[in-house]
Parts: sequence; structure tokens; C-alpha cells
Amino acid sequence: MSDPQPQTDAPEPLAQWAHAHGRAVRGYILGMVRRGDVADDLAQETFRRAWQARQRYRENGTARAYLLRIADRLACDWLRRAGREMTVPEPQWQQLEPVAVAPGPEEQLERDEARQRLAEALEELSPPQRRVLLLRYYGEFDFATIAQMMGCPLNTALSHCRRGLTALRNLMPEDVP
Amino acid sequence: MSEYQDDQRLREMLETATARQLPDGTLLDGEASELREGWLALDEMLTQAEEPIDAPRLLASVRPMRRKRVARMAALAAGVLAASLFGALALLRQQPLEPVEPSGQEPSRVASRTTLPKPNVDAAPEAPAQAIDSAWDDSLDSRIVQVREHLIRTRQGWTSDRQVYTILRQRLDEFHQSLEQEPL
Repeated sequence: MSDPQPQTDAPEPLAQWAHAHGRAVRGYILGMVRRGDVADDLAQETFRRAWQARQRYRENGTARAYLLRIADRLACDWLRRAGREMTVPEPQWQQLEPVAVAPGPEEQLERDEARQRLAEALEELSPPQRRVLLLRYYGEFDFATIAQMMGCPLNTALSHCRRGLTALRNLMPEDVP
Repeated sequence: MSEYQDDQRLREMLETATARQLPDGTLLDGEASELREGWLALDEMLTQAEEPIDAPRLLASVRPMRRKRVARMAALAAGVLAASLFGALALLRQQPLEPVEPSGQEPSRVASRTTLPKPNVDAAPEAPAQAIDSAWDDSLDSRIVQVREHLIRTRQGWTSDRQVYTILRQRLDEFHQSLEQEPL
């Protein structure tokens, strides 16, 4: 994983971070909140806060971990404020605004289908299961760190991960290579 | 097997199952293999659903901070300019009074000349006519008019100075407020 070091006075490292970790940050937030518009806003906010608190980064390890910690906090705050587990209707999920240049029709169709499958799969997971798996996937955190971030014992985090993976395995056995 | 050992075993199994890449020749037992399949399915779904990222858009909320800084610098420059203008006007206000003064006359003397002399009640009937004649002085009258006009102009200068000062104060207040909200 590329991990550019930030300098305190120049915005360039932040741009490097956006290129290197933007997908992971937005992907994580999207997996958590499952709304494209909210994911875009929170991803922007993540980078804004990362820039504001860049002095603290040096003590905290990799850039991706630093960004994902901020993203995790923002996503959890948003979910708490929303006060409910978000269930996004299928059409709304499909109408999520693309972040970048619009792809061609075929590519868009494939992406829509993939997004739909992902949405259905994530829907089957409980919020803590989703959080453990996405933190592990995007942040590559070890389970002790994930447990600490979630404020739960290690065996609880492990349990969420195990059940989540089992649920995913049971959902789509035919898709597994 | 103790609970701790169970946790350790589960942890190792999950770390292996969710690793980005497994070392060559790694063998997974039944449950680990199933968990690995679940992980790979998640990886595939997330990868396929991934969208190209627009980095400039991600940093959109950082950019306004830079624009704000430019705006603050512009406001500061405008404030300095207004202050300079104010100073220049103050200097100019002092200079035009010189030609206003009637030649060789002090303003206090002009004022004293405007008061009419006391009528001499004991004088002969012709005497009041002489007194009135001495009270009217055309050159003095024209000087009074000149001074009055200059006073009006000076007052107008004060008014415009006050406006400049008010604008300057407004700018400085705005600048102060924006600094309080978000420091440079």
C-alpha cells in the first residue's frame, strides 16, 4: 500500500491521499451508510478533517488507517443521527450518483448489477458484522484494533467477523471462484 | 481447550481467512476454507461495485479554505487601502483652509466685525445714520460669505470622511468576525 507522508504546510499530500485512499474511504463509508450522496459528503468531510488534524497523523501509523478511523467515526455518527438501520430501496440504490466520469452503458449496467448484489449481501449482515468486515477489508486493521475501534471485547469482534463471513458464504456459493 | 485458546485459534483462523493474499502452499481446514470463500465473495462484490474516484471532488471541502484565505487577504488589503484614503483625506482637509482666510484677516476678527456697534442714544439725530454707514462693509460681507462657503465645504469633507471611516470599520469588523470563526 502506498503511504505518502504528509507535510504540514502543503496541500499536495492530501491530494496524494485522495488518489491513493479515496476509493477505500468512500467504499467503506458507502458500505456502512449505503447511500451514495451521503458517502460522497462524508468522504469529503473525512478528507477535510484529515487535513485539519494532520498534526495528529504522525503519531498514528499509516495514512489509510488514519483516514479510515475518521471515516468510521463519521459513518457511525451519521448512522446514530439517522437513528435507524438504513434500508435503501433497490431503485434508489441503483440511482446512486456516480462519483466520477459517467461510464459507458455496458459498464454502467455491469456496475449496477454488481452494486445491487453488494447491496443485497450487505443487507443480510448485521451492522456490527458489516463494520468489522469493512474495517478489515479497507483498513486491513488487525482484530484487536477493530475491537478497540468498536468499543467491544476482542472475542465479540471475532464473532461478528465469523458470522458475517459465514453469512456471505451462504448467500452466494455459486459466485465463489 | 480454554476460552483464551479458543479465541486465539479463532483469531488466527480469521486473520488467515481474511488476508489479502495467502502465502503459497497455505492449507485451510474446513471452516477456514468456508470463511475464506465468504471473504473472497465480499472482495469480488466490492471490487466490481467500485467506482472510479474523483479526487478533486473528494477535496472539494478543503478548497474553500484556500479561497477564504485569499478573500481574507483581499479584505485586509481593502482595509489598508481605506485607511490610507482616510489619512489622505484628513491631510487634504487641513490644506484648503489657508486660502479661505480673507487676506490679512483672522477669523475671530471677522466675527467681531459682524456685530453692530452700540447705538449712541445721546448723539445728535444725524449720528445714527453715520453709525449705520460704518456698520455696512461690502468687503467684510463678501468675506463672511466666503468663510460660510468654506465652512460648508469643510463639513461636507467631514461627512465623507465619516463615511470612509464607517466602511473601514465595517470591513475590519467583518475581518475580525471571520478570523474568530476560522483562524488563518
